[in-house]
Amino acid sequence: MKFSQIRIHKTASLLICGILALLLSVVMGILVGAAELSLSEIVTALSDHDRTTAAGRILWYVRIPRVCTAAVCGAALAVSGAVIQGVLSNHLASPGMIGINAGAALAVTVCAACGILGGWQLSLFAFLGAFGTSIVVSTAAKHLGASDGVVILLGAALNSLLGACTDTVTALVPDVSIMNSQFRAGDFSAATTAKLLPAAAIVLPTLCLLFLLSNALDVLTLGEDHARSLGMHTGKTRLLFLMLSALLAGTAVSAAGLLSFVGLLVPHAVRRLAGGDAAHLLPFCALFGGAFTVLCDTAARTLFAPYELPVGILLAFLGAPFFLFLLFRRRRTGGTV
Amino acid sequence: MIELLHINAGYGSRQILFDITAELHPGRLIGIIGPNGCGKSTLLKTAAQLHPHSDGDILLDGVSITSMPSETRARHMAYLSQGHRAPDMTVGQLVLHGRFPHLHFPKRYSGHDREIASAAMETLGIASLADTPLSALSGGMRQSAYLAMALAQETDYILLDEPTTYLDIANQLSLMHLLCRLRNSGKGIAAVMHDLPMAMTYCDEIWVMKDGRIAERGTPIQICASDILSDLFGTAVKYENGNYCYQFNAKSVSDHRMR
Repeated sequence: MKFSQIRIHKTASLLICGILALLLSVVMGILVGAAELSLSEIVTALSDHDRTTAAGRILWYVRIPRVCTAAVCGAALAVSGAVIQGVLSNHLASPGMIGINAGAALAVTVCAACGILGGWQLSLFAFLGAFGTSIVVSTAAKHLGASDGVVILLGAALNSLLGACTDTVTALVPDVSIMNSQFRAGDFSAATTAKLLPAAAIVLPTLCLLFLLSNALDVLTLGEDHARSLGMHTGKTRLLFLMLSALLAGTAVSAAGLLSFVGLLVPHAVRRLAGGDAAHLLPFCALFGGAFTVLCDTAARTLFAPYELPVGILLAFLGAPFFLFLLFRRRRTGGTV
Repeated sequence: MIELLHINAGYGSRQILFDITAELHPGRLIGIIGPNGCGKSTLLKTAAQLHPHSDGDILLDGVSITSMPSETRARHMAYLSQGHRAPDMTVGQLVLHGRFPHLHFPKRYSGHDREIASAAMETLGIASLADTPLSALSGGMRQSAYLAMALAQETDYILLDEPTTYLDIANQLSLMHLLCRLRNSGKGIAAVMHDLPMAMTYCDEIWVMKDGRIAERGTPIQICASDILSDLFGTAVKYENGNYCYQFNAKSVSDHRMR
């Protein structure tokens, strides 16, 4: 069969671009920072695994965990967004927009109030918070037969409600509020290897599983009737995808706080470049989502050095106008985004 | 053979289908006609098990379909709904998804699947559109793409809900010719149709539905000869010199409205 050669070439070149973008952004994130390190210092510290010098400590304890965390969280959120958009058949949806991140954030805050500040328990509860919210949204969307816009409004309401719950917890347990402002904006400054490893151990296998299952996600977007006439158990499949995307979003939130808009911006950009079928969309979202988040984080911590902007604020500056752009385009094209 | 045995079905407390008994043989093209809201779409969905039936049984080659895994069912029976979404994928990808029920976890397509999808696109004359996004297609082309998906599914039976609805007359005719070709190749096809002369011309058998029941079944000639069409639609279909055509009669139409 000749699914045209052009498409295969395009996919291959995009794949190379994606890998290069991720590698370059990671290298840049390691080279650039508030502390000015010379290239020779960096190379020495990296090649000798030297963690005693100033350069070594900055690299091994600050920059490398931070950059890797940004890459993992960016990939997780972008893929989670693409999956949510497929499951809900709603291109305006993303884990941030429909309250999934906020559900995870509430769970993380409750955990912090109970003294759980890291490890697998935190990831588990963040997942439960995210999964619970996504079940609420998808059930409501199905039963209300709600249009795309209504689901986003529902998400806005959930975001406020869950935010209020989070605020209540922080007000009642003041110890929690220390990390609060950075957590709310989304930030990688608290990244450590100890936090990164469990997050990566959850995110990377989940991503691989989703790449494997991409055809099922595509069939789901054909609509209930066609998916079922192709022999799919749509209820179970939808639940599985919601679970996996909640696992990604929950882990990202527990590692870096409420990063908004990555799950919206990246899938849309990738859809433009690689087409919308999940077999292409998901891997490219992971690559470009990781690269994009690392770049944004690098920019956020160097633009105003020695002051540091939480990366979530930078993302909001980029993402909010993009969301408006989507709304306007939707209006112009009569519904399709 | 698909056998519907005394099927009742509905939505909640509202019953739509009453005691439907009928069968679809391989190598037959069946036209299902009837006024709006008489249960044609529900009948197809129930036969494809997209909608549950409350009573009766559906047998696929003698085996009850309710006890069958949905993938086994999907390897024997394809269903296309009316009106198609244009999800974000190319025609080639869509057609390839017709292979979905033939795969095991994790559902990756092989070269063999791609060959079958390619052949299905050749049959529909849309091979050149393999890399075109669905959203860029006209309604007729999109219909062809979905039909190619159903062909790639390689089923013995195809159930089509109003396949000609969004097509211009030329595309309607070429679709009907295609269905005849598929019928000749041994597939059993049932299609909900609104154009009575077209249904009469191409189908081997007509099921006329009224208020959730099959009011009349027979060859097109038999259906033409009965009064059921003028009863239901206020117009009869005449068979003359090998042509079926509507018999519009201004008086009978106004009488029908008055009733």
